[in-house]
Amino acid sequence: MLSISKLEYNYLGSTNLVYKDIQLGQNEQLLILGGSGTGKTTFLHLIGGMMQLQQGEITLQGTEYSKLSGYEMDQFRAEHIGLIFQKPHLISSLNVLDNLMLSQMFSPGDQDKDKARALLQSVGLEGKEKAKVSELSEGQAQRVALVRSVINDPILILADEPTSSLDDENAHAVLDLLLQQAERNQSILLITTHDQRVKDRISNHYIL
Amino acid sequence: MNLAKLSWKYIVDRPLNTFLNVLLFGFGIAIILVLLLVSRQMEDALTKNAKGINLVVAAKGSPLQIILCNIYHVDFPTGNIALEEAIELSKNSLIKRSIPLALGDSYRDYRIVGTTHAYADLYQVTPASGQLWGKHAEAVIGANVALTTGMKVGDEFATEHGMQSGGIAHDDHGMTVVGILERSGTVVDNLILTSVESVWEAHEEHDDHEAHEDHNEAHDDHDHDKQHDDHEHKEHHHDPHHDHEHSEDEMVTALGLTYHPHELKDKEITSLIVQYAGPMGAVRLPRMINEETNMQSASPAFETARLFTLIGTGVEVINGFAYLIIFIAGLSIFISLYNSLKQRTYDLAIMRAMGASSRFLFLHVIVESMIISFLGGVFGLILAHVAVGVIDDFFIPVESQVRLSALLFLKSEFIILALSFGVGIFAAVIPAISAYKTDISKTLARG
Repeated sequence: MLSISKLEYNYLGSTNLVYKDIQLGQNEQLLILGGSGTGKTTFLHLIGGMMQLQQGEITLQGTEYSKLSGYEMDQFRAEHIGLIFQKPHLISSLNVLDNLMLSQMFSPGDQDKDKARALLQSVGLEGKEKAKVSELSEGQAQRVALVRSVINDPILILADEPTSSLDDENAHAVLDLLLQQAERNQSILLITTHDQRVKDRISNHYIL
Repeated sequence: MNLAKLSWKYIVDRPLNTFLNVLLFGFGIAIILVLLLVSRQMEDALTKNAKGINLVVAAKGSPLQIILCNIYHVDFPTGNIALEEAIELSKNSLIKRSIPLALGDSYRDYRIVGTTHAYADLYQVTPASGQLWGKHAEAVIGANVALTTGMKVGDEFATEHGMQSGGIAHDDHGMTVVGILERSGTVVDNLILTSVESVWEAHEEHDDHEAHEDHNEAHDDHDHDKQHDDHEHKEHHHDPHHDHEHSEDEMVTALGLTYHPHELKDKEITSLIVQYAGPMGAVRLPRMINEETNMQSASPAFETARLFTLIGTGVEVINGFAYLIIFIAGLSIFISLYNSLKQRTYDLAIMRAMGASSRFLFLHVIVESMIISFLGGVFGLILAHVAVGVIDDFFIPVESQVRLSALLFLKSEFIILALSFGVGIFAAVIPAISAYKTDISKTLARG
């Protein structure tokens, strides 16, 4: 259960961003729409606990963000929140499997290579475990990033323009997988986008 | 996946950079360690040779020369001292033991040292084969002498006057090897030991021979072949053996040496090795000898310390350079980390997004630098010991007094390693702090 109440954010010398109250339960999805400068990314970063709250409260699974220290927030994020970005941003010094193991390392549970392999297989990347990141196509890399975001079975998946740099085929594939993984974990899924291909697939919209 | 593995992956991702840093670090450390190992082993070897010797008393001259000549057997004697004076001094109650040395002859570059058995006792050497020398024309050779000359017990050799080969051979004075000493790792390995009396004999014969030649020449100049018989007759009178047999019952012994009382005034030795009876010896003896006698005293401890101060300046300079190299290595690690972190800001932010804490990123950078400095340290350690081994194998002759061991590890080496580890960590502090401060949101928003 994600609940957002009275959330505001003020960049110095800039407009005040005010967000509406939102409540989302397990396996629910929300699409956040809006032009550039409307605070989409800020919203996502606040929910991801990557920015300090100024006003209002975010509660995930009974945990109030404002009560967590910076270190506790990091731990909480590692365990319960999966993030995916416009670009895959994999760690290029590590191979595909190690990128996934890195994500597992930050989370409290044991590192499970078989799980990583199974997930790679489920997104059509079997045999790519030892591949260098630079050897992957953009679509493949984004699928690895997707696996990375869900490998710790997060309660909440935050996706920031996950499809906007992909062609139609890959965009749909990634979106399919994203919905599929969210469903598997019964995760709450938040996606910011201005991509028509995504709007058609998810009906719950929040326009900033 | 763990912290060390993650840092390691970043290191191997930049092989050239890593190679340069490890090389710089390694060389800096290797230079310091080589100097450390060499000077320590030199010091040990020199100390070992001077063990149990408090003072060397010789003819007036440079104290350093006295030590170099009479203990390390590398320099030339400052002259001779009168046996009578040496005996007088040895009776001093501040002296526990005094050992006479008679130098001046050699065989194939190995010095012949006329002394008493007390000298062998001082260095705690015993014959590996044969026995210690007797009074007349018997010699015991050190392990290296045996090794290079191939002489065995029972072999005879002709001594040469002077301390380098090519001196005038005492053709008529052969010595017999009666023993070979076991290897001791001291200067004795390179010496031929005999009795002082044997050295005297060789020199008396030698002097006689020379005097005789002069006489002969002068004679020849004056009246060529006529007086030949007369000349041979005279030669017979000069034979020292003749005198010997004549008065053997009148011999006296002092300092472990046997001689005729009436010869005392003529006898000389090169030096006297002295052991104090107690601490008062150090206070009073040197001054007493230098002021009240014709002799000069030299303290091995003091002179070697002085020698090391001289060498030390050079060592300090090279050491300084080595520390400079390590500093540059540290700087190089700092610059390469700093540069790589600029390119890695996004990686760091992504790790933060995955839940890495700030302190994890701090440690990640520190560990990276620690691995590089550790590799540099290990490389330097191996390089230093290999270098010492190579120096010993290729540049130090087998018979050298100072042999180097590549397998000697000193405690201070590990202190140097720890220190360089510190430099590595220090070099990483600023990049690590900047990693610590990575702003996830701003970095990710830049996309």
